[in-house]
Amino acid sequence: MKRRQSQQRRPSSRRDHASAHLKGVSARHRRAPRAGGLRMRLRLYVLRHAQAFIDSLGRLRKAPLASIMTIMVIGIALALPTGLYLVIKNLRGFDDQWQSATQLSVFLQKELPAARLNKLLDEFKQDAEISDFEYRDPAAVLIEFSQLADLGDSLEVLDDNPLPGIIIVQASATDTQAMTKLAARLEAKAEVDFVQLDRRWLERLYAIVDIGQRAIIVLACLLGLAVLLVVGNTIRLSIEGRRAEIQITKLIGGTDGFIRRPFLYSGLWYGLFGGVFALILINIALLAIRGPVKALARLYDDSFGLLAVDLSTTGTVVIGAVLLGWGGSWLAVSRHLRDIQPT
Amino acid sequence: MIIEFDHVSKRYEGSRDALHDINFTLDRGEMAFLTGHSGAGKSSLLRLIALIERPSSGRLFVYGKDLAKVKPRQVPFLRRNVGIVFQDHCLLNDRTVFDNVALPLIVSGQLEHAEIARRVRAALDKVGLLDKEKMNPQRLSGGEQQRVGIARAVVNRPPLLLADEPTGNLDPELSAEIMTLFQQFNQVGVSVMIASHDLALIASMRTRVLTLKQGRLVDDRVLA
Repeated sequence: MKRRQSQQRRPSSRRDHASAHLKGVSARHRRAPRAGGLRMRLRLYVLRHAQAFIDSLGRLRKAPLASIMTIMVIGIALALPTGLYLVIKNLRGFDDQWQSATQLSVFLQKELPAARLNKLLDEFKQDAEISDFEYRDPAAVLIEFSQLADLGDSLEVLDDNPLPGIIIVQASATDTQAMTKLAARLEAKAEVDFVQLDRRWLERLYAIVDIGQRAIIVLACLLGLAVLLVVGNTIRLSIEGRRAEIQITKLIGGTDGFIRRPFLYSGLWYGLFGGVFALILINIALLAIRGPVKALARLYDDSFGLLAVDLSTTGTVVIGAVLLGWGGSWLAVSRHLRDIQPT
Repeated sequence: MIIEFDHVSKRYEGSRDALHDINFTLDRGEMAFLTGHSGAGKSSLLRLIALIERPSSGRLFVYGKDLAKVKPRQVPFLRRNVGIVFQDHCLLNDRTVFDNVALPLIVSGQLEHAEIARRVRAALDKVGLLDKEKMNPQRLSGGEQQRVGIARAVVNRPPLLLADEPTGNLDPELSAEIMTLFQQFNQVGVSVMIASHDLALIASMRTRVLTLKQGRLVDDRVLA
């Protein structure tokens, strides 16, 4: 009854609609004001994407628990390789500082006659590859050693000094290759027992760090794949939940692109929030180890600073997460939307 | 001609022909009923027109276009010119009546919001539900839900309207109202094709009736 009344109240508007309809049928190009011009189209295009962008955020909010769980899984999966990367990066920074270490310890033959020693020191003075050197006789070395190792008393038991003299050489070259060459040359001398490159242990560390870095790349790939699958699965479930809507949208002429769009944006949101969550996790973890790291740094004369998530890492994590989220949802969408057809 | 069936058959795998050698045309501005017992092939025929399914043999033209030559990616654009009304309304219950009716316009993405709102209200006004635009479809009666479905089908102003048992779940009085609505659209030039088994109602409409029997078109005449 009410309906009839409302119809009767607007007889003119009904006629308008009817005549508009006739026009629409007889001359489709005259259908009302349609989107004309490139600017208008572009505006509508941007508007449609903005709508899908915001709409997909609303969808996430409709199932907050599921969304939060997905976001947390993504966050944890991304925090792990990123955190390890930061540790490795800091080790590298530590290493960089020591890259300038150009010292060689030249251990001499025991009981070397003074004449041969002086001859050797003269040779060192002439050597262009040696910028500076300092000779320490066996007695000085013994004192230094006993102080360092806190072995003073036990060394007194020994009848004579078992240690050789040492020349600490400062190489003029700074690259490892030249220094290794110099070490070999000095080692070849009859007066020299062996030469130790102080940088060696750093190189070993460097090699370990290298392995660590590879391991992180592998780990990041695996966990990236996990993120892809997690997002893909979440989107798959969301597609299933909206099956009826997808069918209807297809029936009234929605293109695959139109139907795909909100799901892709959902994936993007998952990625973005997951990435942000990962950064929060990392920062919390860094805060937790701040104290011990500081203590350790003090032992090394504060030669390295605290771990920190820098801007480029932050950017990489967020952009990477967004791409993974988008990619995962793209996988699910391209796989499952095709299966849903109107019946 | 809006629709032309030329020796069209449809066979589902492992069963007899759902449609067999169908020949007929529907002209621009014409209205026709499609009747027959359930399983006679009414829905199958409409599904072929809406490109939900493809003929097994024969040729089918809609708007003069050979549907066999329509590629999957072109299907949505063709469907935008065909309004479809379903027996079970197929409304989305997580949004308002307004949003349901607006869907075809949003999907085609060619109109600004103000123009969309104007057209949605015009369509809702036409079916007499202008005052219910903010309601959830679930809170409407069956007849009202069906009218929302009709508003959605016509909001895009398609030259062709298909309806599959649109009064299937309605009582006679409401059914007559819905049919009158279709007739009104037909009067302003929309071609209408309605599948229905409600013979009494059809007889009162004095329009062309196509009768299907076991997948064959056995009768095609104006009931008087």
